[in-house]
Amino acid sequence: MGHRISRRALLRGAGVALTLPFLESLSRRPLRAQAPEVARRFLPIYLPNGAHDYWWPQSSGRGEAWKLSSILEPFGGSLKPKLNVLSNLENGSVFNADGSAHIDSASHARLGGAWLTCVDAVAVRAELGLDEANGISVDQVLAQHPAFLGKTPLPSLQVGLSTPLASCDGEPCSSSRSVSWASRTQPMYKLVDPLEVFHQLVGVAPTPDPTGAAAVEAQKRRARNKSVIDAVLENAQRTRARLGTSDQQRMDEFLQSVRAVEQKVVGVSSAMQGAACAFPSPDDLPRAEQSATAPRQTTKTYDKGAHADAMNALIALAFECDITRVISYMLEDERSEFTYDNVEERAFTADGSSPKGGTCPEYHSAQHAGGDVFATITWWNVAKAADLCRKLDTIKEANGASVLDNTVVLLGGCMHGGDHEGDRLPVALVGGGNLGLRTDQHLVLQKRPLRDLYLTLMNDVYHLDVSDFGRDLTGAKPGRISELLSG
Amino acid sequence: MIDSPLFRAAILASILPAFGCTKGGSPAVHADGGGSDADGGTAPLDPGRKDLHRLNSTEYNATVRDVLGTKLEPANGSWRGSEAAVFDNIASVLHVDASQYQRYFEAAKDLATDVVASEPLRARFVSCNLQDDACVKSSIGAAGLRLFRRPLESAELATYQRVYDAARELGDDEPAAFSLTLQALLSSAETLYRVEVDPKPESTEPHPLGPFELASRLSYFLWSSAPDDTLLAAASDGSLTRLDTLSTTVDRMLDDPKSERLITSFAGQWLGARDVLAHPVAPSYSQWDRPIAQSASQEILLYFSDFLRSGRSWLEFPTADINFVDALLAYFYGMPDATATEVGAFERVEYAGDQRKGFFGLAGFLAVSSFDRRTSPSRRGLMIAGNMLCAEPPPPPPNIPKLENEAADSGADSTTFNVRQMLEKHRNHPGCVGCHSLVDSYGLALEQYDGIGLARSAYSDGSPIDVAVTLVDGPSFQGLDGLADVVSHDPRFGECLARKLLTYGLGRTLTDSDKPHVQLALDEWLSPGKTPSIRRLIQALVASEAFRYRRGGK
Repeated sequence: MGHRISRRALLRGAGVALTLPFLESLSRRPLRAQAPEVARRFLPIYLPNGAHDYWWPQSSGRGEAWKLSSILEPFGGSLKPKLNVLSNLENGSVFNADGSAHIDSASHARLGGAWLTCVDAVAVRAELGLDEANGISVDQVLAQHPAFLGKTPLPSLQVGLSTPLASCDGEPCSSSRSVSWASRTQPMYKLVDPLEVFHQLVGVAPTPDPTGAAAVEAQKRRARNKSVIDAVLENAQRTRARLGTSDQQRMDEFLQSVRAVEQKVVGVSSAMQGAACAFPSPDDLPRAEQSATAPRQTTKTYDKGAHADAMNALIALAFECDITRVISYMLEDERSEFTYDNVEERAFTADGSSPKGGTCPEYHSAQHAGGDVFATITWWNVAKAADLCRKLDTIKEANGASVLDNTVVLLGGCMHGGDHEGDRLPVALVGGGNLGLRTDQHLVLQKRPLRDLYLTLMNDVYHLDVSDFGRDLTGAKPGRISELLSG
Repeated sequence: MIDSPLFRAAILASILPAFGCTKGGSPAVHADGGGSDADGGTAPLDPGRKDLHRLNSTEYNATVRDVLGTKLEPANGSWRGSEAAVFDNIASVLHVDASQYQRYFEAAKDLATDVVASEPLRARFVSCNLQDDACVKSSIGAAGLRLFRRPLESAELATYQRVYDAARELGDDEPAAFSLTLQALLSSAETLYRVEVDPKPESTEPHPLGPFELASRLSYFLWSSAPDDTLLAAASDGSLTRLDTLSTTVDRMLDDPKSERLITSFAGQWLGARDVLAHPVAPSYSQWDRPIAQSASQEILLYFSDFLRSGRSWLEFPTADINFVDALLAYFYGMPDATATEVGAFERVEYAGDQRKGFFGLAGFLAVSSFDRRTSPSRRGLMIAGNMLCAEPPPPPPNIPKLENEAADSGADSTTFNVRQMLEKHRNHPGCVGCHSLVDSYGLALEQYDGIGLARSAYSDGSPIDVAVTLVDGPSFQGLDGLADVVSHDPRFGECLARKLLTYGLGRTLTDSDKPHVQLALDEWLSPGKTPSIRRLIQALVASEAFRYRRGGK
């Protein structure tokens, strides 16, 4: 039976102070599709502004041989056996000014843009003569592949925690604010408002049988929406016929977006095999509140912790209900200038940390200044990612494994630390134990392109047939990281 | 493929900007632009290629406010936007995706409901009885004209009339049916995009814009919004395409309060007023807080506005001894004679000897061009050379040591060191000196102001401040006054305003083919005996073929 969700329940107080009981009630699934195939999922979580040195574990090896670093401590307990930390991966795609194939001191935006694409956006823009371009990102390669496409109502989802007015480093802002790219020319902007994410999920979720008087009203609403959308499509097609090729492509982007919305508001019935989650009708849902989406600089008017918790719950819901299997999640934009005054500064050593008093200042400066503040902010973001992993691990699937076991969570950033270096990247994988990943290890590699990690995931975990990815300029031949694979 | 020389050349060309690390100065421009035919007639210059242009959030809100009269501002922080070349109205990077279309769709519903619920707002489009078929048609036509910014063709009218009829069949009353029709118009591509059509889309031959297209270009340039009825009328009778009407129209539009949006959007972005609000400042600068940042940001806008409104010469922008101070800024600057007693209520003052001469003496500029805990002569220099003179040096080479680290290595305290001395050591690195020498001097002249723009006479370590500088192959000068004078006389300073205005006005990045247009506008603007005001430059640019023409093709 459908659960009615009141606006009050969804938004408590101002802004995004979302509380979660309603989400839990939503996700209580009455039943699940019979004998489902294993849903193989991918969840890249973006760590802004690199990581402090205390990210990297002091010891390496498998099982007992390696211990968590002080920053990765939130992955302690039941998560450590599901963790991989990979050291010495480098993004070898970004050029230096002299044309050499290396990556020191590139800007935040340039490295951030290359994180999931392994392509230097500056180079592609020059080649195509466009103001904005990049490469397709690894999550979108998956989402567009028949192994994923059409299996779930949403091909993929892009979410993030905030859109503060961080500098874009003179690059198109999509470089530092979008890690997912559907093609060389199409950045996929993320949703930052939990309410919008909720709409997105509910709008495409299979709805319970519509019967009764409310259903007649809903039917009328859909008919009204249909006549609006029909006019919009007619107008756009008429206009499109008058345009040149490149503007027609822009109009196609528009038409594609209109059709996606049509699916939701006209209620074209979904033949997708999403798990039968009990969602309310989209027409009954509350509208987004502007206060939840205003630019946020500090926690004075905004609770970043609550924002993260709400987004975590929505991501878990999307996976549990099998609405999508590919989600990219930015904990912050690259070159984040967010003032973490919600977080108490901690004193860090390689072995642990303890509260120190005082709160954390603006992130970008703190990153470059290094020290405890940088470590604390990295740690706080890691802890939010760990919260989500723990949540995914509590949801059991039909085959007895947890959602986390059927998901590869990639937690990482685009630069090493405070010096804009694109090598020795912070990279961890969580979960994937049921998908063929060997876990519980700190793998210290010899300098390896990040591309090889993606090739390993695409081929050995998701069983795509991909021989090369991105544009690595270090000269290393494409390869797989066999140490990551079990058996 | 990746190692091919061609590929590499493409990369390098993209990295190295047009104005390299050689002697500054404007690139060669041919005023005739190759526009002369063999038989002496003139063919239009290449007006450049512009993409289908989606309204950005500012433009969307302004458009629905001006056209519908609504107080709703649906576009908020989560709406999709992007920037290129420091502006957020560049067509090529303004995409749409399903989430953004969903926002448009929902906003259209809210807006239509808001309009139809209000008698005076509804009367903007409906001035007859909707029970009459002809009235339905004329009302849809009235709304369509304002929203599509051109008259609807009969087939288009029929499209939206069907929405009205469908709603009536579903049992909606007349106002509700009109509301749904308005929702359909507001959700349509022709409302959300500025559509300009080429007769032969794949031909690169220039052709003049249609009068309604020209009206939209003008109104989004000067008002960030749709044309008003006067402008639509001038498009309708064709008079707008005459240069004399165009000129009087520009004057009228700049005199309209809606031109404030040109100041907040154009100057707000180019001159950094928006950045001042988000600029990180270390807590050690205890005099800086959010209210002072707001006042400093506002002062930048008021300063620009003074030039736009007064018709004063743009070349005095670096030298005019004008400030706009509220109670906070008056205290911050130490101006005891200022009478402003409130926060946010600004007073225009001209104090000789206040050490605040010109744009580069404004606290907002001095703060936003600094790092969070110290000044950076290189960053200030870059903001002057790159942003105000449009002569950006190439990006720095890899592996640059940080000044803080170099200071520590040389035994200085890394929080109080003498920035100038350390920078001079730093730039002795052979790979650095070429570019640093081009930009640093401008910034070094401003070392008498700290990282938030307060005047100072010594560094924190007690060492004296030296503001005497010499430009490469150029003049020597001292401090803010000297800098102001040098920039004011630099021919690139006027040209840069033209380039920025044209970029913003067209909503596209400039290419080599735009140089002759810029040069022709500059020739007119700087012709002897006339004051080179911002208004006259806007007039010259709007009259240029880059603004009035377009072409198809790639």
